[in-house]
Amino acid sequence: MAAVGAALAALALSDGSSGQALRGDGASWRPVVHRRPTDADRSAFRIGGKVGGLYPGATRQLSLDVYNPQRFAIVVTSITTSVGRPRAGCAGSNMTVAAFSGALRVPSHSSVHVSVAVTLERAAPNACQGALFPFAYSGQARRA
Amino acid sequence: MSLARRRCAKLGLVASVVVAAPVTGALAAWTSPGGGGAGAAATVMPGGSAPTASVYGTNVTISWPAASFQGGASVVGYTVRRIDAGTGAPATIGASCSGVVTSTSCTEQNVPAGSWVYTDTPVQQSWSGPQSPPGNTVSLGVNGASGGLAATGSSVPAGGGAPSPSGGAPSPSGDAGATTTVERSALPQVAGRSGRLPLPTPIALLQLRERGRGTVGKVVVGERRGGRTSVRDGFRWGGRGV
Repeated sequence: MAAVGAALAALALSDGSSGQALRGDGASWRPVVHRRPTDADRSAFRIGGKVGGLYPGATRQLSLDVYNPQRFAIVVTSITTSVGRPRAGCAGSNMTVAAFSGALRVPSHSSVHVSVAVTLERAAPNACQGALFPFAYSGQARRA
Repeated sequence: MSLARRRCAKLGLVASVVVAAPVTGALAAWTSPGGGGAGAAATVMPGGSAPTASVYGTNVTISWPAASFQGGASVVGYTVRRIDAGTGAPATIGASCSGVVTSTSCTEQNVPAGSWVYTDTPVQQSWSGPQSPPGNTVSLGVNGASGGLAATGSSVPAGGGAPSPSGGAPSPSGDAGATTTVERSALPQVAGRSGRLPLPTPIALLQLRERGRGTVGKVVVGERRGGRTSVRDGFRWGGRGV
């Protein structure tokens, strides 16, 4: 019992590194768990989304799909996106993704979309042509 | 998981609520590393389209179709190259067409003698797209017609036959270096000698040759009407008095 409570507390306070990790292809997400699933695993909400057509100086709207697998509604209060390195000669810092901050209510077992702006910097080098910038999403939520 | 442990887990969830955010309720953070198609895809630059080059005196106007990204946005500019039509060697292009040209045409001034082709390459900040195929060949200061003209009927027989300022037949003899503009009414005589001109562009420079003496004059022609091209502008009897 103490071990479970500690794990959940760490999950709530950490950046997620000690909590649950989710992997997916942007459309179908599944938990990656290296132990027996706990309530903490099942408490995660899932974020996915992708966007295309970016060129230097262009901004597009990234529609994030926020899925709540819980048996209760949640309110997502923040979502941040970190951008990975797409390829040699093209750093992830060439892309900027706006953070979401607010109160996004997501009903139980439902998905809600929220849009954030994605910009490819004007200084993005030629090597970024056709590159896929991988995203990793982080978010915070509370029970509604 | 046993029933007892599940109950513990539920209690644990409640405990975490208290620990994490006693005021706002259950607060949890997750990190979800994306994979596969999750992310943003940068597009690629569109390719350039072959330009059209038109000669006007020693100037060449190059124009080309706009290049657009998927979705319709146009690129911010183009780089233009002049290439030797014979050797394929790139040449240094004039200042008015150098760097990034933000429109879809430019005029290179005082183009050196030779036969040239032009290309355009779309650019977007530090990105550049595929270079266009070369456009039509233009020739300046060399034997034969320019502006992509076929050389049909472009020679003037020795001894005259070209127009004079008054509209009559001028003599090719005279003071070297003089340049004269003849009356417009005289120009159809030249056009008559040239016959129908297969001009690729509305305006082109026709150079007149004299057998054994090379280029002896130039004329700017244009105004294609009904499949025929009429002489439009002045006639310069370069290098000879009239």
